Amino acid sequence: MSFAEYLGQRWSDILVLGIQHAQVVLIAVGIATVIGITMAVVVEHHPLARRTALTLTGTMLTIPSFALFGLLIPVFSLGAPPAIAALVLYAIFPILRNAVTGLESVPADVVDAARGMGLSRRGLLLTVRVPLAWPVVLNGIRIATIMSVGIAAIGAAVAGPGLGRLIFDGLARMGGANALNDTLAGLLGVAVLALILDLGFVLISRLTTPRGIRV
Amino acid sequence: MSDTVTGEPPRTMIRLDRVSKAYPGLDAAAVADLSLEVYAGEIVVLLGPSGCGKTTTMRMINRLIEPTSGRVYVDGEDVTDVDADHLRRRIGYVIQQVGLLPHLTVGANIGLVPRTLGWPRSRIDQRVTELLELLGLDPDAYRQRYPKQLSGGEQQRVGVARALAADPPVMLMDEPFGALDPIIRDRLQDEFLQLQEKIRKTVVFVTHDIEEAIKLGDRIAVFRKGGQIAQFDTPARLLAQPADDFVASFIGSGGSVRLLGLQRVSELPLEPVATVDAATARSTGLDAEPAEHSVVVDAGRPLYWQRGGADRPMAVVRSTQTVFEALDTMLAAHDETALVLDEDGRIRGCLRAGTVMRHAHPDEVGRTASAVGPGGPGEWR
Repeated sequence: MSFAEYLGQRWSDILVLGIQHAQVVLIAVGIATVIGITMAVVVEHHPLARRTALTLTGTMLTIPSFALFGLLIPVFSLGAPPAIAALVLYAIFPILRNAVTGLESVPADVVDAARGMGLSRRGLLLTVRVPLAWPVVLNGIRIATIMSVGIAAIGAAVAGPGLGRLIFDGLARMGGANALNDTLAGLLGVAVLALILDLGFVLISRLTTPRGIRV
Repeated sequence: MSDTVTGEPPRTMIRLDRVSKAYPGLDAAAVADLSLEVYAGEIVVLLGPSGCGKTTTMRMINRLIEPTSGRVYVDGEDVTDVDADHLRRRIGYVIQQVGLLPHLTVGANIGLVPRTLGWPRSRIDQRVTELLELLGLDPDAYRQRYPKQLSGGEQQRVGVARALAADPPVMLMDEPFGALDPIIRDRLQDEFLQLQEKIRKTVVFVTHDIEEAIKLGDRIAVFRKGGQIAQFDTPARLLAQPADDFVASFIGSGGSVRLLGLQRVSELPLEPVATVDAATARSTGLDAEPAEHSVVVDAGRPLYWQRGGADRPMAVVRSTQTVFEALDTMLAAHDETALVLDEDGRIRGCLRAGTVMRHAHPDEVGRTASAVGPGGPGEWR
């Protein structure tokens, strides 16, 4: 069966896997965003805590994903939970990193003027610092998302849902019927999903960046 | 300016009582045991070289910097320990870099403090309109703009409008015009003085520019390193009688000449002028000996001194101009006497160079002369 014929027959299955893949990624990135931004706000006035947080979360990225998924099985057993947990651990770093950078890059004179006008610490964070840091924060979330789309494919190793199943199945049956087509479809699906999500972020960025700070 | 407080005893709006600021790890205090009183409605300039503690002193008033010791009073209330955020909402704050919030429109920037104070929307809108008009910016054109769409001068106008939004009695201004080019800076200084005529805020103004201090300040506190005040005085007395070598060197040379820039022509005694109609002057020709100060006029418009003849240029100044400008005009015209007109162009008298020499004294500056010569100005018409 040619790849075109294969796609013609199997497209609905591939689509379902793609949607599951996206769900796992978005849930994980959503959780990581909450954790990452909270951490950034907590550590911003404590240089030592900030360095520690960045080092720890950065170290996560050096753990091979296959190993991390496996390590989480005893905690979360099989399926979506360990896949999501592992993705969260990976996604925190880019989000935290950019949130810290973004909050730091808010111009000092703007903060000084806002404090001088009597904005409380919370008011300053919500009406000044977060909105101004937002484009950088959002970019961190975007990087985390794209990265997670790739890593999530490995989640199939712990029976996680998504396009990784096609890849793992295909590789396991190499030489058998449709093995190559499965693998190719999985790989292409991951790439296309990454592209769609990236475009989504361009759109979100356009919609949520205040007009006054758009480049 | 300085006569705002005449008549009744001055009311103290800001009082610093022996405040100090020391930073851990530094031997010398940034500000040491400083006391300062600012009266309601006056502009006090904190002047000094960089690192002298003038900005630190200003920032201790709204407690962006907490004093290490001492008390701060605003409008009679000890604010050393009150909630700093609430205190700051009652004090206007303008800084050199302006610090407009780039993601908010001009209208939202100006309305920020009123919104924090919980004003209703309609009142905020009305106030924004009012302030934009006051600062010479068309509300319809500017309200919806973003800070990056404004020039430096426009941004600082919005900065001042924002500081005035909740109508605070006190304004703190940290080199607000320092980043602007000289022409715009000069214009904004003039506008600010006109604005102050209307709004009469108590202003603490930080600068390192002596000319700006002299132009804007009702009183000037000259700081030396270590956050101590070397001299606190009116601009005129500062120029004429610097307290010590430090103040003298900071002010620079030419204090007496610069003093003339603070004095209006109307503050000096003028001498009477006789007028001769142009037609009469022609008919009499050179036969008659002209009176000492007689000016030839045509339909009320002065033409030339009768004695000098039509070919000699005549120095003409307005009574509202400074003595400095009058002398400049006299020098340019090679004329020892300047004809003084009032704002409507009527002849008020003449100013002689000798009068300037005799009356250039700091205690005369800023005091409106009661006598304009015998009979007063009405006589000359």
